[in-house]
Amino acid sequence: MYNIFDILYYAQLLATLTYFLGSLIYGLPIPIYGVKKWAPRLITDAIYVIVWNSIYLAVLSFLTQLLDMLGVSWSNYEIWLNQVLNFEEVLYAVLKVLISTLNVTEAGMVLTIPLGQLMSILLTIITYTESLISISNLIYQYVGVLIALGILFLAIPFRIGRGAGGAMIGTSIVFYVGLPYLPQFLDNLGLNPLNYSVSPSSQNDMYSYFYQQVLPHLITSLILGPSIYIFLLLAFSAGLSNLISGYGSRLPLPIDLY
Amino acid sequence: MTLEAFITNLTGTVTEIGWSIFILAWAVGWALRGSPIPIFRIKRGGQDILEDAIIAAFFLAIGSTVFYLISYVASQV
Repeated sequence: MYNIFDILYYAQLLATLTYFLGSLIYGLPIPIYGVKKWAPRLITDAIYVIVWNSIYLAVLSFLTQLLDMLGVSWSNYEIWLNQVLNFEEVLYAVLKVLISTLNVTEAGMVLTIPLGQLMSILLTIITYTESLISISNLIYQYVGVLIALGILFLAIPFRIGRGAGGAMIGTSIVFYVGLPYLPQFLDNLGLNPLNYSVSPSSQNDMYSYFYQQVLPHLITSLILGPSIYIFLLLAFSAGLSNLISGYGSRLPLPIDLY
Repeated sequence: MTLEAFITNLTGTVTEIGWSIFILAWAVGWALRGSPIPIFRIKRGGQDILEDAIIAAFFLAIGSTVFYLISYVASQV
Protein backbone atom coordinates (compact mmCIF):
# COMPACT_ATOMS: atom_id res chain seq x y z
CA MET A 1 0.00 0.00 0.00
CA TYR A 2 1.38 3.37 -1.01
CA ASN A 3 1.83 5.99 1.66
CA ILE A 4 0.40 9.24 0.32
CA PHE A 5 2.89 11.50 2.05
CA ASP A 6 5.82 9.40 0.83
CA ILE A 7 4.55 9.89 -2.70
CA LEU A 8 4.26 13.63 -2.17
CA TYR A 9 7.78 13.67 -0.72
CA TYR A 10 9.13 11.93 -3.82
CA ALA A 11 7.21 14.38 -5.97
CA GLN A 12 8.93 17.20 -4.09
CA LEU A 13 12.35 15.60 -4.67
CA LEU A 14 11.66 15.20 -8.38
CA ALA A 15 10.39 18.77 -8.59
CA THR A 16 13.65 19.98 -7.02
CA LEU A 17 15.61 18.00 -9.58
CA THR A 18 13.47 19.42 -12.39
CA TYR A 19 13.99 22.95 -11.12
CA PHE A 20 17.79 22.67 -10.95
CA LEU A 21 17.93 20.99 -14.34
CA GLY A 22 16.03 23.98 -15.67
CA SER A 23 18.44 26.44 -14.05
CA LEU A 24 21.39 24.47 -15.41
CA ILE A 25 20.01 24.61 -18.93
CA TYR A 26 19.37 28.33 -18.48
CA GLY A 27 23.05 28.89 -17.79
CA LEU A 28 24.34 26.79 -20.68
CA PRO A 29 26.41 28.95 -23.04
CA ILE A 30 24.81 27.31 -26.06
CA PRO A 31 22.64 29.75 -27.99
CA ILE A 32 20.36 27.09 -29.50
CA TYR A 33 16.65 27.70 -28.99
CA GLY A 34 15.82 23.98 -29.05
CA VAL A 35 17.94 23.46 -25.95
CA LYS A 36 17.27 26.72 -24.22
CA LYS A 37 13.50 26.56 -24.50
CA TRP A 38 13.51 23.77 -21.92
CA ALA A 39 14.91 26.04 -19.20
CA PRO A 40 11.82 28.16 -18.41
CA ARG A 41 9.59 25.15 -19.06
CA LEU A 42 11.36 22.99 -16.51
CA ILE A 43 11.41 25.77 -13.92
CA THR A 44 7.70 26.51 -14.32
CA ASP A 45 6.88 22.79 -14.25
CA ALA A 46 8.72 22.44 -10.95
CA ILE A 47 6.91 25.42 -9.44
CA TYR A 48 3.63 24.03 -10.72
CA VAL A 49 4.27 20.70 -8.98
CA ILE A 50 5.16 22.46 -5.74
CA VAL A 51 1.88 24.36 -5.95
CA TRP A 52 0.02 21.06 -6.38
CA ASN A 53 1.97 19.60 -3.48
CA SER A 54 0.97 22.44 -1.20
CA ILE A 55 -2.70 22.48 -2.12
CA TYR A 56 -3.05 18.67 -2.04
CA LEU A 57 -5.02 18.53 1.23
CA ALA A 58 -7.05 21.57 0.23
CA VAL A 59 -8.03 19.79 -3.01
CA LEU A 60 -9.21 16.75 -1.06
CA SER A 61 -11.34 18.81 1.32
CA PHE A 62 -12.67 20.82 -1.62
CA LEU A 63 -13.84 17.56 -3.19
CA THR A 64 -15.84 16.66 -0.07
CA GLN A 65 -17.27 20.16 -0.06
CA LEU A 66 -18.30 19.79 -3.71
CA LEU A 67 -20.12 16.56 -2.83
CA ASP A 68 -21.96 18.43 -0.08
CA MET A 69 -22.91 21.21 -2.47
CA LEU A 70 -24.29 18.67 -4.94
CA GLY A 71 -26.29 17.18 -2.07
CA VAL A 72 -24.96 13.67 -2.61
CA SER A 73 -22.86 11.36 -0.50
CA TRP A 74 -20.89 8.20 -1.05
CA SER A 75 -22.76 6.27 1.62
CA ASN A 76 -26.13 6.95 -0.06
CA TYR A 77 -24.64 6.02 -3.40
CA GLU A 78 -23.39 2.71 -2.06
CA ILE A 79 -26.79 1.99 -0.51
CA TRP A 80 -28.39 2.71 -3.88
CA LEU A 81 -25.96 0.42 -5.70
CA ASN A 82 -26.68 -2.40 -3.25
CA GLN A 83 -30.42 -1.91 -3.65
CA VAL A 84 -30.09 -2.13 -7.42
CA LEU A 85 -28.02 -5.28 -7.12
CA ASN A 86 -30.55 -6.71 -4.69
CA PHE A 87 -33.37 -6.01 -7.11
CA GLU A 88 -31.49 -7.79 -9.89
CA GLU A 89 -30.72 -10.78 -7.70
CA VAL A 90 -34.37 -11.12 -6.69
CA LEU A 91 -35.43 -10.98 -10.34
CA TYR A 92 -32.83 -13.61 -11.13
CA ALA A 93 -34.04 -15.88 -8.35
CA VAL A 94 -37.68 -15.54 -9.43
CA LEU A 95 -36.79 -16.43 -13.00
CA LYS A 96 -34.73 -19.39 -11.87
CA VAL A 97 -37.62 -20.72 -9.80
CA LEU A 98 -40.03 -20.13 -12.68
CA ILE A 99 -37.82 -22.02 -15.10
CA SER A 100 -37.33 -24.98 -12.79
CA THR A 101 -41.07 -25.14 -12.11
CA LEU A 102 -41.86 -25.08 -15.80
CA ASN A 103 -39.25 -27.71 -16.49
CA VAL A 104 -41.26 -30.33 -14.62
CA THR A 105 -43.62 -30.97 -17.50
CA GLU A 106 -42.75 -31.31 -21.18
CA ALA A 107 -45.26 -28.65 -22.23
CA GLY A 108 -43.71 -26.29 -19.71
CA MET A 109 -40.22 -26.99 -21.04
CA VAL A 110 -41.18 -25.44 -24.37
CA LEU A 111 -42.22 -22.30 -22.51
CA THR A 112 -38.80 -21.99 -20.84
CA ILE A 113 -36.94 -21.58 -24.15
CA PRO A 114 -37.53 -17.79 -24.43
CA LEU A 115 -36.76 -17.42 -20.75
CA GLY A 116 -33.20 -18.59 -21.39
CA GLN A 117 -32.46 -15.42 -23.30
CA LEU A 118 -33.93 -13.34 -20.53
CA MET A 119 -31.66 -15.16 -18.11
CA SER A 120 -28.52 -14.35 -20.07
CA ILE A 121 -29.48 -10.68 -20.42
CA LEU A 122 -30.14 -10.53 -16.71
CA LEU A 123 -26.72 -12.05 -15.99
CA THR A 124 -25.10 -9.40 -18.21
CA ILE A 125 -26.93 -6.70 -16.30
CA ILE A 126 -25.77 -8.14 -12.98
CA THR A 127 -22.16 -8.24 -14.21
CA TYR A 128 -22.46 -4.63 -15.33
CA THR A 129 -23.76 -3.51 -11.95
CA GLU A 130 -21.02 -5.46 -10.18
CA SER A 131 -18.41 -3.73 -12.34
CA LEU A 132 -19.97 -0.38 -11.46
CA ILE A 133 -19.70 -1.27 -7.79
CA SER A 134 -16.06 -2.27 -8.08
CA ILE A 135 -15.13 0.86 -10.04
CA SER A 136 -16.89 2.98 -7.42
CA ASN A 137 -15.09 1.23 -4.57
CA LEU A 138 -11.76 1.69 -6.34
CA ILE A 139 -12.33 5.42 -6.82
CA TYR A 140 -13.67 5.90 -3.30
CA GLN A 141 -10.79 4.09 -1.60
CA TYR A 142 -7.90 5.30 -3.70
CA VAL A 143 -8.80 8.87 -4.69
CA GLY A 144 -6.06 10.29 -2.43
CA VAL A 145 -3.42 7.89 -3.69
CA LEU A 146 -4.42 8.46 -7.31
CA ILE A 147 -4.15 12.24 -7.02
CA ALA A 148 -0.79 11.95 -5.22
CA LEU A 149 0.49 9.58 -7.92
CA GLY A 150 -0.69 12.06 -10.53
CA ILE A 151 1.36 14.79 -8.83
CA LEU A 152 4.36 12.43 -8.76
CA PHE A 153 4.01 11.83 -12.51
CA LEU A 154 3.70 15.57 -13.12
CA ALA A 155 7.01 16.05 -11.31
CA ILE A 156 9.08 13.85 -13.63
CA PRO A 157 11.57 16.06 -15.52
CA PHE A 158 11.11 16.96 -19.20
CA ARG A 159 7.32 16.51 -19.07
CA ILE A 160 7.61 12.74 -19.46
CA GLY A 161 4.71 11.98 -17.12
CA ARG A 162 2.73 15.15 -17.65
CA GLY A 163 -0.06 13.58 -19.70
CA ALA A 164 -0.35 10.57 -17.41
CA GLY A 165 -0.27 12.70 -14.27
CA GLY A 166 -2.88 15.13 -15.52
CA ALA A 167 -5.12 12.25 -16.59
CA MET A 168 -4.85 10.58 -13.18
CA ILE A 169 -5.61 13.77 -11.26
CA GLY A 170 -8.44 14.83 -13.57
CA THR A 171 -10.09 11.43 -13.74
CA SER A 172 -10.01 10.81 -10.01
CA ILE A 173 -11.38 14.28 -9.21
CA VAL A 174 -14.23 14.02 -11.73
CA PHE A 175 -15.19 10.47 -10.80
CA TYR A 176 -14.95 11.09 -7.07
CA VAL A 177 -17.36 14.01 -7.32
CA GLY A 178 -19.44 12.71 -10.22
CA LEU A 179 -20.16 9.07 -9.46
CA PRO A 180 -22.37 9.59 -6.37
CA TYR A 181 -24.60 11.82 -8.49
CA LEU A 182 -25.52 8.86 -10.74
CA PRO A 183 -28.82 8.00 -8.90
CA GLN A 184 -30.04 11.60 -9.17
CA PHE A 185 -29.02 11.73 -12.82
CA LEU A 186 -31.03 8.60 -13.58
CA ASP A 187 -33.92 9.92 -11.51
CA ASN A 188 -34.02 13.13 -13.52
CA LEU A 189 -34.06 11.16 -16.75
CA GLY A 190 -36.82 8.96 -15.36
CA LEU A 191 -34.54 5.96 -15.62
CA ASN A 192 -33.93 5.05 -11.99
CA PRO A 193 -34.38 1.29 -11.95
CA LEU A 194 -35.68 1.36 -8.38
CA ASN A 195 -38.78 3.40 -9.13
CA TYR A 196 -39.69 2.98 -12.75
CA SER A 197 -43.13 2.04 -13.99
CA VAL A 198 -43.68 -0.03 -17.07
CA SER A 199 -47.10 0.38 -18.57
CA PRO A 200 -49.19 -2.63 -17.53
CA SER A 201 -49.77 -5.43 -19.93
CA SER A 202 -52.76 -4.87 -22.17
CA GLN A 203 -52.44 -8.20 -23.87
CA ASN A 204 -52.57 -11.71 -22.62
CA ASP A 205 -49.33 -12.70 -24.27
CA MET A 206 -46.95 -12.58 -21.33
CA TYR A 207 -43.89 -13.20 -23.48
CA SER A 208 -44.35 -10.38 -25.92
CA TYR A 209 -45.12 -8.06 -23.03
CA PHE A 210 -41.87 -9.06 -21.44
CA TYR A 211 -39.82 -8.73 -24.58
CA GLN A 212 -41.37 -5.51 -25.81
CA GLN A 213 -41.75 -3.62 -22.54
CA VAL A 214 -39.86 -5.00 -19.60
CA LEU A 215 -36.58 -6.08 -21.19
CA PRO A 216 -35.87 -2.86 -23.11
CA HIS A 217 -36.62 -0.93 -19.96
CA LEU A 218 -34.24 -3.07 -17.94
CA ILE A 219 -31.48 -2.58 -20.48
CA THR A 220 -32.10 1.17 -20.74
CA SER A 221 -32.17 1.86 -17.04
CA LEU A 222 -29.49 -0.58 -15.91
CA ILE A 223 -26.96 -0.49 -18.75
CA LEU A 224 -27.55 2.45 -21.07
CA GLY A 225 -28.33 5.07 -18.41
CA PRO A 226 -25.21 4.46 -16.30
CA SER A 227 -23.11 4.11 -19.47
CA ILE A 228 -24.26 7.50 -20.74
CA TYR A 229 -23.39 9.01 -17.40
CA ILE A 230 -19.95 7.36 -17.29
CA PHE A 231 -19.17 8.59 -20.81
CA LEU A 232 -20.17 12.08 -19.67
CA LEU A 233 -17.80 11.79 -16.74
CA LEU A 234 -15.03 10.52 -19.02
CA ALA A 235 -15.50 13.52 -21.29
CA PHE A 236 -15.29 15.84 -18.31
CA SER A 237 -12.17 14.05 -17.08
CA ALA A 238 -10.55 14.53 -20.46
CA GLY A 239 -11.28 18.25 -20.24
CA LEU A 240 -9.98 18.56 -16.70
CA SER A 241 -6.88 16.50 -17.53
CA ASN A 242 -6.17 18.83 -20.40
CA LEU A 243 -6.56 21.80 -18.11
CA ILE A 244 -4.15 20.30 -15.58
CA SER A 245 -1.50 18.99 -17.96
CA GLY A 246 -1.88 21.12 -21.06
CA TYR A 247 -0.92 24.64 -21.95
CA GLY A 248 -3.66 26.01 -19.76
CA SER A 249 -1.49 25.20 -16.79
CA ARG A 250 1.06 27.96 -17.35
CA LEU A 251 1.83 29.92 -14.24
CA PRO A 252 1.14 33.64 -14.17
CA LEU A 253 4.84 34.31 -13.63
CA PRO A 254 7.06 36.06 -16.18
CA ILE A 255 9.69 33.34 -16.27
CA ASP A 256 9.46 32.79 -19.99
CA LEU A 257 11.84 35.49 -21.20
CA TYR A 258 12.12 34.67 -24.89
CA MET B 1 21.51 3.09 -3.14
CA THR B 2 17.82 3.82 -2.91
CA LEU B 3 16.00 5.75 -5.57
CA GLU B 4 15.41 8.54 -3.09
CA ALA B 5 19.14 8.92 -2.33
CA PHE B 6 19.88 8.72 -6.04
CA ILE B 7 17.50 11.58 -6.85
CA THR B 8 18.83 13.67 -3.95
CA ASN B 9 22.43 13.10 -5.05
CA LEU B 10 21.50 13.85 -8.64
CA THR B 11 19.90 17.12 -7.58
CA GLY B 12 23.05 18.09 -5.69
CA THR B 13 25.24 17.21 -8.66
CA VAL B 14 23.00 19.11 -11.05
CA THR B 15 23.16 22.17 -8.78
CA GLU B 16 26.96 22.01 -8.67
CA ILE B 17 27.15 21.63 -12.43
CA GLY B 18 24.70 24.52 -12.71
CA TRP B 19 27.01 26.83 -10.77
CA SER B 20 30.06 25.68 -12.76
CA ILE B 21 28.15 26.23 -16.00
CA PHE B 22 27.26 29.70 -14.77
CA ILE B 23 30.95 30.53 -14.28
CA LEU B 24 31.77 29.03 -17.68
CA ALA B 25 28.97 30.97 -19.36
CA TRP B 26 30.09 34.14 -17.57
CA ALA B 27 33.62 33.69 -18.93
CA VAL B 28 32.52 32.73 -22.41
CA GLY B 29 30.01 35.56 -22.52
CA TRP B 30 32.51 38.23 -21.56
CA ALA B 31 35.11 36.74 -23.87
CA LEU B 32 32.72 36.96 -26.82
CA ARG B 33 31.48 40.38 -25.85
CA GLY B 34 34.92 41.81 -25.45
CA SER B 35 36.50 40.00 -28.38
CA PRO B 36 38.15 42.21 -30.97
CA ILE B 37 36.00 40.84 -33.74
CA PRO B 38 33.98 43.53 -35.51
CA ILE B 39 30.98 41.28 -36.10
CA PHE B 40 27.98 42.54 -34.22
CA ARG B 41 26.17 39.19 -34.07
CA ILE B 42 28.98 37.54 -32.15
CA LYS B 43 29.12 40.34 -29.61
CA ARG B 44 25.37 40.27 -29.32
CA GLY B 45 25.52 36.49 -28.79
CA GLY B 46 28.01 37.02 -26.01
CA GLN B 47 25.65 39.45 -24.33
CA ASP B 48 22.74 36.99 -24.65
CA ILE B 49 24.84 34.30 -22.99
CA LEU B 50 25.70 36.72 -20.18
CA GLU B 51 22.06 37.64 -19.63
CA ASP B 52 21.02 34.00 -19.52
CA ALA B 53 23.85 33.21 -17.13
CA ILE B 54 22.75 35.94 -14.75
CA ILE B 55 19.15 34.72 -14.84
CA ALA B 56 20.37 31.15 -14.28
CA ALA B 57 22.39 32.28 -11.25
CA PHE B 58 19.31 34.07 -9.94
CA PHE B 59 17.17 30.94 -10.28
CA LEU B 60 19.86 28.76 -8.73
CA ALA B 61 20.19 31.03 -5.71
CA ILE B 62 16.44 31.51 -5.24
CA GLY B 63 15.78 27.81 -5.80
CA SER B 64 18.38 26.68 -3.28
CA THR B 65 16.94 29.04 -0.67
CA VAL B 66 13.29 28.16 -1.29
CA PHE B 67 13.81 24.41 -1.46
CA TYR B 68 15.96 24.50 1.65
CA LEU B 69 13.22 26.48 3.43
CA ILE B 70 10.56 24.00 2.29
CA SER B 71 12.52 20.99 3.53
CA TYR B 72 13.34 22.84 6.76
CA VAL B 73 9.69 23.71 7.44
CA ALA B 74 8.57 20.20 6.47
CA SER B 75 11.09 18.64 8.85
CA GLN B 76 9.89 20.89 11.69
CA VAL B 77 6.22 19.88 11.32
